[in-house]
Amino acid sequence: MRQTMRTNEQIATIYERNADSVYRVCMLFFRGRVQDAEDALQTTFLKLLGNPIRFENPSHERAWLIVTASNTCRDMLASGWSKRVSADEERVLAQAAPLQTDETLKSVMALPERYKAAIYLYYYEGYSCREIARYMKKTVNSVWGYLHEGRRLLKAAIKEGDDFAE
Amino acid sequence: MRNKMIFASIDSIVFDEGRKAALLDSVLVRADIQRTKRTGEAKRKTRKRAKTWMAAAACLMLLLCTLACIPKTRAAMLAWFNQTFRIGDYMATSPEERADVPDVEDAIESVGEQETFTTVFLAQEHEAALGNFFMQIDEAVCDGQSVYLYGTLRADPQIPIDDQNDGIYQPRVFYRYDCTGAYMNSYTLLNYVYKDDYIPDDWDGRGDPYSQAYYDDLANGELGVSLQLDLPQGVDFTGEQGVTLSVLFGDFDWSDVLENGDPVASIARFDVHFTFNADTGEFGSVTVTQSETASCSPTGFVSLFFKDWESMTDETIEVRNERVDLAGMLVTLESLEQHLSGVDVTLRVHAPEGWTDEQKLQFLQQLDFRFPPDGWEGGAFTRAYQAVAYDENDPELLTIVGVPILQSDLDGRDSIAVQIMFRTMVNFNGTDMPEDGEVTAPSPEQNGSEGGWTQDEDFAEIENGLLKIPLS
Repeated sequence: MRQTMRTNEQIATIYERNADSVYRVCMLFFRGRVQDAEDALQTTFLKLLGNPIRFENPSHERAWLIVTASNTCRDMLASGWSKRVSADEERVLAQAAPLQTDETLKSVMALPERYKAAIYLYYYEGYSCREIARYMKKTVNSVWGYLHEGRRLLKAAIKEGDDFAE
Repeated sequence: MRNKMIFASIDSIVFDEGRKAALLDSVLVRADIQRTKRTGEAKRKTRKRAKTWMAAAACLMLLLCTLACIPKTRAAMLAWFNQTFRIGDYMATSPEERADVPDVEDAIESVGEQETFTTVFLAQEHEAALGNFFMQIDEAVCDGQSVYLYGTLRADPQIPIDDQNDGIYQPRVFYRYDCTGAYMNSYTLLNYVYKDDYIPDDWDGRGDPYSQAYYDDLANGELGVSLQLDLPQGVDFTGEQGVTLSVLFGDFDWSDVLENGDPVASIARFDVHFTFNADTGEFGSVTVTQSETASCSPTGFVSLFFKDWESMTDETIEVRNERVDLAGMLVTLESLEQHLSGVDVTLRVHAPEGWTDEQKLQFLQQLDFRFPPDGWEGGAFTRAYQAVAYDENDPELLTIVGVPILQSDLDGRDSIAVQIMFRTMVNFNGTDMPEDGEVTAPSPEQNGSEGGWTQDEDFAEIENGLLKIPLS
């Protein structure tokens, strides 16, 4: 069966619905580096262009984009993508688009990469563990392991653990 | 589950509307380029594929025409076609009279949404000390099919690290649980919660390398662990449910566990009890209790026997009994391991403060054991057993080896008892020994072999030396 690519209208609609979430995830992975985050965001939506996946609902759509974005960021980081931006360029970019980060955000950004997506989906987007496991193609046990460890690291970093003990 | 603090922080990342629109434009331009590029590739592929099919069809037609030139062959072909497919019959039937074919949607059975719940509770205060181990249950989650427990295992004081597997320590921990009366029994090595990346040398930078990850943090005194309890099938998940988890520690041979079934029934060290409501998904009470630990605190005095090898001449040797107080001693069950031929009981003797390693080792060497009836009529439980193994690198540990108690003997019993006995030297090479003091005894034969020794020992129970090992 021939696979048709999504139209520009479809891409634009999905982009409008999810660009903010995808952007936040990319910013978390690139620790506030706007240029890298924007590159990752564009790559994520271009992956959507040729992917024939049919979303069951907006929630599925958003989760797919977030997981894809996190994988994209990890691949970029592993391939040394961010090293292409020189220190001078980074300084200029940071001045151009300063990001106000509090201690919590810094701690979230400093988390090991594999915990970020799970933490984001669970604590920010409100997905259940089972949903996250499904979208990340992990076992529920693994996802809980990520959350457990992520939470422990955040507690240690922020030293306000009670806020997480829900 | 949203966390206010994390939510507020991440929410502070704002995507500038102008940049958002600009990036969308960029995405759409790049999408057009990709689409054009892919369309070109598709057309080339389509043309190539069409040429291939055309050639195949021409060959087939040529073959059929050739066969049709032969009258007999043509007749056979027509008969076969008519038997298989009578297009005239189908076309002659009106659409209303044709047999119904189910719609595609009806033919596909919908899986439907599974009703599941996911609940978390934190139980950070629930901690149990287990000899050298501490287990802290941090949280648990139930998704309707399984219960996942997360916690921290700590070793205090430092425990020996088993480095048989490239330095990876595997605490041998077993669990059993009881959910709504449906008793489930299972064994597992503790799963590790991955704590650090392990990136293989040949990893190409893509995909997920973490599935191969493991990390041993126990060397630092702490290890994150996870347990997955699969709930029994057929359990009706409504209303209040109760789960009892027993975690059993011990130094067991995993292959024996697999071969012999239930070898560790006797050493449950702590239990986690919790309830949850399957309708609301809320967890109720959570308690962690330490099971009865097999231990005893011997009292009284015993005499440790020593030979002064340096004093030995051809004729004499100085020997002595050293009277020591057992106050402060604690004997605990380290493990009970079932083999086909019986069980190995390993005990740890926590010596009173101030004892030297030499005293500890000598004490172990003069120990003996008897298995009193404890309601049991079998002979194996009544006789003294003398096969004892020492661990010279750990002079507080000894194992009573191969006690001939079979699994079938243990079935239906609540406990077995071990009475600690002590052999006091009362006469050495014909010389009576004082309870506390040194004597000069005749030397053995010139070859120095211990075959020349003659010794009489008093075999007696140690006060408060009865160790009861629970089996439930």
